[in-house]
Amino acid sequence: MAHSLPPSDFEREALTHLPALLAVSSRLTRSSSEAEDLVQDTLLKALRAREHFATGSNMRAWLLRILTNTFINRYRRGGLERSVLDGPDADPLADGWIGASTMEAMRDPESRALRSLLEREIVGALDELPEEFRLAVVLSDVEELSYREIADIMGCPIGTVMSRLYRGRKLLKRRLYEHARSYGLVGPEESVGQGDASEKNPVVELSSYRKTKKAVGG
Amino acid sequence: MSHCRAFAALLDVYVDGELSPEKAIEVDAHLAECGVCTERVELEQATRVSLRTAVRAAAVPSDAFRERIAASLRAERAREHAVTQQEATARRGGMLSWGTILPMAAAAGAVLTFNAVTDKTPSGPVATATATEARASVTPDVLSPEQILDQFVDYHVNPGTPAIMEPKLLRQLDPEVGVPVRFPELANYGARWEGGDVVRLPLRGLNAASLRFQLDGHRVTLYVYNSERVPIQRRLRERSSYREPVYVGYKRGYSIAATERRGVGYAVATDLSDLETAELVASLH
Repeated sequence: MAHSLPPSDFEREALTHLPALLAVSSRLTRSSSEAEDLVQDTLLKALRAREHFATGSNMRAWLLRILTNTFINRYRRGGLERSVLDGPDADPLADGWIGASTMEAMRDPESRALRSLLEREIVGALDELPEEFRLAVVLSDVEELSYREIADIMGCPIGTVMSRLYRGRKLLKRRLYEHARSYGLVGPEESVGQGDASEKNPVVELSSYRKTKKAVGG
Repeated sequence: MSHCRAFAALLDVYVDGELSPEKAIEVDAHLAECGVCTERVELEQATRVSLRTAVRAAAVPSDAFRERIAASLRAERAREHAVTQQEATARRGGMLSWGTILPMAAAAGAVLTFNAVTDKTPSGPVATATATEARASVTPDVLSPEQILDQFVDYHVNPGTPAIMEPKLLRQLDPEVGVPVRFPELANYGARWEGGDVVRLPLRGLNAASLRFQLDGHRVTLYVYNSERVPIQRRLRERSSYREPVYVGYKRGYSIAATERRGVGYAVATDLSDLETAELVASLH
């Protein structure tokens, strides 16, 4: 019976990327059953298209591109959910409202990670980001892919990747800062001496962001 | 501070390791003298460490999932093997290609017609009994559309030996399925008949007939069932481009399209695109 055909080297290598595929898929779909379906479809498509894979290139990046395209084709015919924040870049010091000691309080110096209270919130905070930002952040910060690879996967220029990462990370940090406040990890806002008016309104609150988004039908 | 302003936008890129060496050296020099920017970099790195840990931990593949993936890749391998062999046969036999059939089917509107599906009265006394029993039994646990699609895909992938090879004998399945099972005229279009069977759904009185074909190297499984009790369209999306509603979707890498006619449901599972699958099921009307 044909079922006894042994798995190919291609298949074996592809399966080593299962955790990465499921991690990205889970954040993209935000549903564990859809995430599993998406990974399965991705691997089947990859298997059928394996002659298009350039041996020696990054298979994980290639698989993640198939996964992203499959997700867009199935759920988002018009491309990834857009951000209404596109426009001129915000002030680069827009997170200046967080002072050095506040930032320090959010970290755990031992583990070189965030305080465990914040770590628990991080997936939720990530899931609240618009898709374009969320995918860019996951591909960069979790999968540690290069800007070039992320641009290939998302089908956009490198500059767009950088802008999505920048905005996504800023929103994420703002959210984590809000959590840190609510846990009492950090005190009320402190100033680091950047009091001019242009920096009073630097960061978009996620709740108001979502309202705006609904209003424009995005 | 204006000094920081020049560097702040670079810090992310610096942590990403994507700055040019010259710029990276400039940032290093700034960090050596600026505590706030150093803290920004530290927080950036801490956030990434936490993101990596948390995102991976939130989605660890279960053993069941690993097995499911391995099984579907195994089935795909087996399918490819069968296709390779079949293509060799088809080349000798000169069947119509699927690419030719689709435009023809679309143009003709309804070329793939069933012989007799105008009434859903099951034939024979046994059938009536089964259908009555099915209707009478208050179903305590209704199968979710998800479970039914799973079952359909399972069977599509691993069909086993068909119970019925002779198309005329398909009527024998009527009692178990509770709706008339007739042979669709796919054979004229290069589809090779492979046999029919009953797919037992894990719920009393709920079965579907499966009719298997090979179409230009693609396996096509057509399911016939009582559409009142197998509401799979709830899990699929409606395509409005046909005269009758056709519902399409994916399950585990296979396209599924379904339609309904006078209480009889028809679903097709294939590895064709969703459009081709929808076209195929739409042509049953």
